[in-house]
Amino acid sequence: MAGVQFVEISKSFGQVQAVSEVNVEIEDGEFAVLVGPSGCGKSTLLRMLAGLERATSGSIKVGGKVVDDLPPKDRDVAMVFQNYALYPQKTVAANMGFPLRMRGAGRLETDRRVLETARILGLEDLLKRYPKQLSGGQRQRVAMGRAIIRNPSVFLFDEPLSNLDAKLRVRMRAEIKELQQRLGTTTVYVTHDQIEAITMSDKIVVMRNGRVEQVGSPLDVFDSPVNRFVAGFIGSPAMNFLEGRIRSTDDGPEFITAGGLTWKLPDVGLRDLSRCASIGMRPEHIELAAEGESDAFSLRISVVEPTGADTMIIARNGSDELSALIKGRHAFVPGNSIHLKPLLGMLHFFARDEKAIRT
Amino acid sequence: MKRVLVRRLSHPELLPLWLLTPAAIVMSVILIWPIAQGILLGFFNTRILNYNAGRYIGLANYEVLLSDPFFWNSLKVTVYYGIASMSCTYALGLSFALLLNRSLPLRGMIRTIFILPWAVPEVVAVLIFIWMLDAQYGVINYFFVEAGFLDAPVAWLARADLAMPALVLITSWHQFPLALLILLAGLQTIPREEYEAAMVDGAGALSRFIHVTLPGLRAVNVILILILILNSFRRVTMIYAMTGGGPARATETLSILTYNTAFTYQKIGYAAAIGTVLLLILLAFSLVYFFAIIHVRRDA
Repeated sequence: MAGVQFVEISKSFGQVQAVSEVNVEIEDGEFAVLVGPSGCGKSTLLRMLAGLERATSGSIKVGGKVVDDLPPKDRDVAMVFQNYALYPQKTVAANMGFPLRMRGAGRLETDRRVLETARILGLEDLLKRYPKQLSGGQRQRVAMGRAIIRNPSVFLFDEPLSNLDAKLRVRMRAEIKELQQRLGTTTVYVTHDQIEAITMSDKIVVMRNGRVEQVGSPLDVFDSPVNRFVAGFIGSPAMNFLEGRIRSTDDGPEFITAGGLTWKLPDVGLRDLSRCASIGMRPEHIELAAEGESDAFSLRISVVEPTGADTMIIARNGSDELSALIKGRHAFVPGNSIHLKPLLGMLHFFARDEKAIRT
Repeated sequence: MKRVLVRRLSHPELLPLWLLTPAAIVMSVILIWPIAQGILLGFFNTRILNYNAGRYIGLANYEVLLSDPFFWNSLKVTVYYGIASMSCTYALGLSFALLLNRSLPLRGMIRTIFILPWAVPEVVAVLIFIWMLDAQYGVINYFFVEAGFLDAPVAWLARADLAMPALVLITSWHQFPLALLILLAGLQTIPREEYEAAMVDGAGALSRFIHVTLPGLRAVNVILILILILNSFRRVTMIYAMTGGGPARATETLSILTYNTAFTYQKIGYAAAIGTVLLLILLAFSLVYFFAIIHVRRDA
């Protein structure tokens, strides 16, 4: 077992800077998720950790040991690829046993451990099959079996669930997490799906354009995003942003949205609200208000999406747009006006440079 | 009644058959008819390409064939040539395919250069090689003598033990681009992730070749090897231009024996019998090829 450290890691492909000066530390036994939109450098970072790409500068440590000059096979890491990368001409048993055979394990020892691993993953009945005879979920499990069989220090997952259908994805998500908790192996998991990131991880590393935007526990990142990008990327449905400017009045500061709404800023304990250029609120933190309530917005309903348990609405006023997740079922009519108010403690304030304004 | 017939014949399921009919007619006239004539000729004792001029002798040609040492020699030469030229062509093709599958500078240009031998007409290639192998002026002899491998120049094509290796050499040189193209296409279907997974799993370069590259090429290998052997069995131009089957019948494959028997010794009926045997061998290989392709398709 071992922790992983990225120290000032940069990687460029010709003119393209894929990863810039990344510093991240992943503790021993931690489940870390690298998340970000496609092209943000998360896969490159993982591939550098695996030894499949060489960093342009900086250093990577596994278990406190610098591995920059080690080939993949000497790094004691195991990887699960997006398309599973199973050996198509080998049986399930031969696929899982391959890393052991390559490390000089005997046939008996290999067979024993393949069976053991197959039991953990429920693959005992499939050992003689070939990858093409397996379903997507089964292939995924074989790829995991091939990774865990040799008991590596670190597991690497490169978007392992993106080829599965939605239902199976949810199930495999739980399976992977359960397996990781059982084995306690340090895991680095790459995904562009922020739900996967939040539900599975102990630590989230949010990336954009090759840089780390924020590192923290999932709820930490969800509750206190450091900037508008993280705020908008983490959470589903995505956070609403109202653009605008601050105006001082005798009654205290007012926020005037780009769409022309005026909103008296509540006292939420922020000292430096004058820098505020946008306000963020999550759809689930917006509730119905009565007409005339002082901190409510009046908007026109444009879309109503009943989800069964709740009702999602999108409402507009000029260029202002809010999506709100209202508890329960409601007979909203598109075109009608509606009064909405945010939960005051759940507001996020951002400055012109998109950084969050904190107390 | 007539209308029912028309409707049946214009059934959509029959359309493919109708579309194939013109090609089938052309094939019959230019391919199946001559082949049938050739097989028929084998049952006659004739010296010209018309069995009406000869006498029907049943299987007599085939009886002679079975006890003809030249026929058995020729069969041996054919198998030797087929296996040797296939192996060398394959090895050359695979080596260069592996090389060209890497990211090289000027890869496109190098690829084109490697395809060039294939574009050279067989007779021209043979003439160049005859010249290069020449005992007096040949560059190959010059090189071997200078490098100390040979004491004196060797007349490669005049020696029964060296003519076949020389023939295999030039065949492989001329044919390897075909193997190169097919193998390169095969290599490019192997996903990069398979190599990466193998690297992480601890496989070195040789293990990756054995466990990823070779299995990945299995489908094209079957097809390619059969094509190369079939081609070598059918080859006439190159061998005829190079040695004519000599010296001492050392390079006389079945196709050359057929040609020589027919046009040098004017034994058309007998040659037709040899040709028929060759046809049967090719047919057997074609059937293997046919089933291999079906198998490969099902695999994919």
